[in-house]
Amino acid sequence: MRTSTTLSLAELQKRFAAALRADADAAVDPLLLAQLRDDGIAPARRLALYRRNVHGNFLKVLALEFPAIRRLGGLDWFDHIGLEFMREHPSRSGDLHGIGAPFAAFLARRLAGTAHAWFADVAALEWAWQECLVAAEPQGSLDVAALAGVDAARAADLRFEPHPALRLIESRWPVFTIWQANRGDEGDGETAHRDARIDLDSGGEAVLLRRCDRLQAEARRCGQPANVRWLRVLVGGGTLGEAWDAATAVAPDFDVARALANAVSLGLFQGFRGS
Amino acid sequence: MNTKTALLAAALGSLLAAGAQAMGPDENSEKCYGVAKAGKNDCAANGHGCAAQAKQDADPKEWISVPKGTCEKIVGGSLTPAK
Repeated sequence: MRTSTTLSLAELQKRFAAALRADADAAVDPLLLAQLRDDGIAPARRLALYRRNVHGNFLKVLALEFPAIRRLGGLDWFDHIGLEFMREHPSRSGDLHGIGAPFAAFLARRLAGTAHAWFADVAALEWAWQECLVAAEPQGSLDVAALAGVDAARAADLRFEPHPALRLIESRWPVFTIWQANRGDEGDGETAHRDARIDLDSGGEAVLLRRCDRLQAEARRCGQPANVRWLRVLVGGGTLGEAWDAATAVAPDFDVARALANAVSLGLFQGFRGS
Repeated sequence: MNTKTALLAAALGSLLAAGAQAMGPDENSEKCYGVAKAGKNDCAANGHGCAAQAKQDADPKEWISVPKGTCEKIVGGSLTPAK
């Protein structure tokens, strides 16, 4: 039996978790060390091995989820910011895929007011892409015949159910252009940027992301402001009337028939409700 | 009926005429196992979350999407995952 102080299981787990998240050169918790076995490998070294694996796996998953951010910021910066992020938002699940969910908000806060504030929007786009790839299959497909037969007087109250793998990302920066130029798969981040210079002030972009079928996702830039507003309402679960109001507020001649046919044929909706 | 309601109703009514169709599953591609390069797989399989997470070349449990009829022409390609 050990003679050292015995920690409760909860206390032991807490200290162990804290040690795994700590910086590689942080002082090690002596109470925790006293609990670790010492046969062949010194306790501090055991802990260091474990910690390196935890950090390495976290950063590897984050890099898979945010390749453009990694390329834009560089490998060293990405690893540094990634561990800082890990300490604030440690994985809460055995499935590491979810770790990237708060990354865009983290970057927005961390980089606010700097010349790199736009990283947050690129990260939001990358995360939306990840979400689209793994979102659930739709529960059904839109019944176009039933839709066409809806009572005309109630048309404005129709509400579409968005496909689970549908996201709209809007930014005041040209995020789609930046993402396209930096999501490349040559990907060690140290290669020179392939992109021609992108002017950050060349205007905002909105991006519609969706999964076309079970196998592939697609992202496209939405050009017209009226179209962006129209999609924003519909993707957000608003009514057809609200979407029309939003679009026609900026473009009185908005072609709603065409926009609706486009949305339906792109498979943006999995169903609709009357009111 | 005001203009807005009329326009919206017309838009709904024209969906059928316009031949708009909700997208169904893609009929023109198939999953091909055993031919993905590491990191180039298409989607979830083999104990990882999603695309681009295959750990080795030509893993028989990883797949990519290819045009229908192509898979069996590829060395090592299989329409079913290895056990």
